[in-house]
Amino acid sequence: MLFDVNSIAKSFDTPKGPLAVLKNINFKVEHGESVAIVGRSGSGKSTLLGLLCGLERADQGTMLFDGQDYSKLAEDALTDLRATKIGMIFQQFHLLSHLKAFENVALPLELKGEKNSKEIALELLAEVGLAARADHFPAQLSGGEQQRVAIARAMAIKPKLILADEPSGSLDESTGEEIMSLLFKMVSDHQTSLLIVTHSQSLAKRCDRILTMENGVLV
Amino acid sequence: MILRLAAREIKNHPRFSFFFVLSVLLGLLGLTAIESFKGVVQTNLQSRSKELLGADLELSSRFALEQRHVDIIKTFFPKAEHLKSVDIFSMTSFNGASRLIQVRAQQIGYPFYGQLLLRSGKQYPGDAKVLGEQEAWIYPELATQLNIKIGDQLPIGEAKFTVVDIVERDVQQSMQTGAIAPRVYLSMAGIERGELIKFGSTVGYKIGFKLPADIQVDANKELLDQVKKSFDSTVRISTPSSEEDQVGRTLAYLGDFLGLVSLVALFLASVGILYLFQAHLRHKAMDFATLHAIGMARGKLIRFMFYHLGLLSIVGTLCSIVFGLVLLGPLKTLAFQFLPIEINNLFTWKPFILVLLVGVASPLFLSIPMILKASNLATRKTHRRVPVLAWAAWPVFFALLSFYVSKSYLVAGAFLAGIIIFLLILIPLLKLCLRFIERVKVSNINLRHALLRSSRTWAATLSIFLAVFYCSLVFNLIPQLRTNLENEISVANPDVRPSVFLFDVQDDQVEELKSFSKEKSLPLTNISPMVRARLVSINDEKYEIDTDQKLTREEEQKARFRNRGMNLSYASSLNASEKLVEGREFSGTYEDESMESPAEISIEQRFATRLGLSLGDILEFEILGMPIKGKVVNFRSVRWTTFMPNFFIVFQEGILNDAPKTFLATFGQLSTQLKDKLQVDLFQKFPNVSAVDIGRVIERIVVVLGTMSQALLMMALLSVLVGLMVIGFIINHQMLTREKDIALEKMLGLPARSMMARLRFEFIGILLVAAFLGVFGSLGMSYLLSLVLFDGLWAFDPVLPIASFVLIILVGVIIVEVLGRKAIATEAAVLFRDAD
Repeated sequence: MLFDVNSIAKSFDTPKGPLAVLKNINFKVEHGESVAIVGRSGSGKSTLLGLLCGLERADQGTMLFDGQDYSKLAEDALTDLRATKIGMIFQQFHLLSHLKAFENVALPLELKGEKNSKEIALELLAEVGLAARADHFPAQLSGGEQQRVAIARAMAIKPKLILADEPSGSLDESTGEEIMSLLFKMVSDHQTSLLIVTHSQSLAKRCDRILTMENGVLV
Repeated sequence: MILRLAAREIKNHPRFSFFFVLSVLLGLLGLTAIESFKGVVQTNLQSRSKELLGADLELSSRFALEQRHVDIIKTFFPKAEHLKSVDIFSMTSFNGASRLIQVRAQQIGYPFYGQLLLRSGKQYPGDAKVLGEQEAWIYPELATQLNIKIGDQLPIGEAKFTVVDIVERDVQQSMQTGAIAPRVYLSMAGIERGELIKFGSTVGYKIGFKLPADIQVDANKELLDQVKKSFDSTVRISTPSSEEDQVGRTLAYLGDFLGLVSLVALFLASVGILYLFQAHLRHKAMDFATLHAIGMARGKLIRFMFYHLGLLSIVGTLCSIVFGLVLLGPLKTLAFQFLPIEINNLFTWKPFILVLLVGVASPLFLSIPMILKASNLATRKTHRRVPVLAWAAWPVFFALLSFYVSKSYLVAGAFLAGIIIFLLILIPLLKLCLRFIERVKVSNINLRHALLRSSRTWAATLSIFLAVFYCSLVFNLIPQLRTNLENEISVANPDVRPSVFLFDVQDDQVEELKSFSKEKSLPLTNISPMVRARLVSINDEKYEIDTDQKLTREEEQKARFRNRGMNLSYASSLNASEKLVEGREFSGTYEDESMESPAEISIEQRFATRLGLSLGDILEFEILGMPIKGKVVNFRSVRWTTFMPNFFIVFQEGILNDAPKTFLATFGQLSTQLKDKLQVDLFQKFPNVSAVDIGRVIERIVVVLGTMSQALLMMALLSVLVGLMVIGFIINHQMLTREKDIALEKMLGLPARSMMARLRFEFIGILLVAAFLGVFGSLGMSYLLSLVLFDGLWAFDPVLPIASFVLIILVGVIIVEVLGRKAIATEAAVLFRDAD
């Protein structure tokens, strides 16, 4: 078991009183498994992602990652966890605009203290089909190419889990298909677990399991 | 509709609007204050210009004015009334101390305009009793210095005068000599009684004319020109407006300098405005494209952007005008140092119209290329190039503005050159440096990423760099120049500097003076003859300039410089404060009895440069109507601040020895006691000889310099404030644009301390380099200026550069720390906002 989420809940204070965004969430992700969470806008998917990657803390419940309880980890340990075990992919790609493609991929490796970060980054870019674009800045790449770089960056640290937030949401259908195939191939090749939050039923169907979220509850 | 859209745009982007208005406000603040101050001074001087002159028209000369001079004026203005006055430098002694004084006597009823206010409460002309032959009114400074009371007998020249009143206010007070030689009023008969006018005395003769009320001499240029042409250059013709210029000149120059420093603030604010507006346009690029897509034509789009900018500029300018008036108070107190009249709050629209014009036009000109670029992008006409003229508009506007402020082609040219250097040399050079920095290999990951970020976001880096660079430069340069000046005047070579400077020594008193000094064992040095002359031609070309047309500051200076009389001297060799720069020493004594061949002359080097002289040039002078020719054989440098008798033009011995002349001389280093005693003894033995206490002159100069540099420093501080504001909002904007990057770095596992370290490396690094180069540049500039202005005597005060460097860095660090911490506190959840 890689990931075990038990009875977590999260609410936010609003002028009208506390607003429960997540209520009693329970699910598990196995090593190498791919899971899709689908749901409408405002159903609480983003909040769940924030909790899963350790940027926010749950009000109650436990989240075990590789046997470690998130709630008991200090801020530095959580940062270290993200830097070493979790890769993230976003709808808007979120590449650092002042860094070239290979520098974006190498960044998480450098944070880990990896000496050969450049070589590894170049290999990964070759793996996602962008060897020739390694020296380009994000603004010089198409949306599909930027997402490939983002995938390479997420895979760079050899994470145990990839969290993907609407990874094909900003791409046209065929590019989205192509990029998702690449993502699935890579997680499969590297034996990485994948948790995707998406609106897309077709993308969700490519995962091993689909969880549906409605009003802060998994149904 | 477009205007309404622009107004809504301001409302919808309050942060951008606030910073933009703030930039315009602070950028213009200095200019507003200076221009309104200049306006108030000018209006005050204009309203009292007749009082300043005391007449409608005045003739003045160093030579006695006669009936023929009056007759010339009467041919133009038959109904003119006239009265005479004289000014003479003399000495007085009381209670065991002596002082140089300026004696003024005027015929009864003079001045025609303006009054003297006496301590008794009476006014002259008015209810005050006319001065008798044995009576005097004295300035309060003299009464204080020599402890004189009303009723005391004051010796002046060969007679004693009873002090009957103290002058409390005198509109025609002389600013140049006021503090060194306080004025004493005598009657015309008193001047004769004291036998004050002797050959060689420094006398100013004046005749004032009162014209019928319907004649405004200043309004009739042609008539005034004709009057001027009726006199030779030894007679100066003054009118109320020329007197107003004369009195206001020192302040006008100070105003010009302050205006220039205020332009630095405007320039820095423009850097900020440029940065802000281009960031805003980039942020709005999609909106503009949408507006175009739904039917807004390119022209309307451009108008929309201009209206938006124009409205913000108007708000900023109006705020600046309101705040600028607050600065008027301190500037008005400054005017007391330089003007004989009180400054009243006389309102004038002119400066406000100028500021409004600058406040609106400057951002508009600045933004033309950016708006054209943004409209090209929105309308997908990216192949269109922005015309060169669009880029040139602002530099040309700024150069014209600097010319208006400084009234000087040189300064305006320097500003334009500065901007061109900035655009064509400094920016490419800095970009080159950034490219180099990008390739630097460093092992520290935070430092490496800071270097990458600063080299690749070059617009922000350069904007911050320039703001800090100019801040440090201006902040350090002005006090540094002041130190140079003070050092030059009050510190350099105190051992060789004389204590007392004598003038008006008559030819027949020289030997007596020598025996006087020998008898008292006092170091009499530098006895130098002085001959009054006019330079008529250089290599047979006429030298004097007509001053009828409107002149720039440089032209005015040139005309004044050329048209005044000159003091010549003769010597066999150079004195201790002179050094031969080019040419040869005099060959010996002039021996041509026919006096037809030119004599050898030595010229001070900067004077030679101003006249454009070369070795071998022939200069023709006129000494009391007699032509004398000289040939330039050498150029020499002179250390003027040694306060030794020095001359621009020195002839070889032999040709001027028989010319009518007086002598200058000095007494070397003396204790205060000896100096005071010497002045009393001198006065008793040589009552016509004037003695200047050099220590007092230096004190006065240092006080005036202090006031001027304080005003300059105040303006420099404003520039620094604008610079820091620009730094503040560029860093703030950078933090905002990096919100998602910071969140991403957090997500990727970068600890907060590393993020802060990167920001520190990046911004504090830029601050350190720019402040260091700015301070270093200011030292370089002050060194270069000292080479040009002070013969290379550069006074380095390490406290100033270190203090300004530390201060700017400190403020910069605080800005980085506060804004950096705020940015790092950004929630990483912003990365997910797109999805949910």
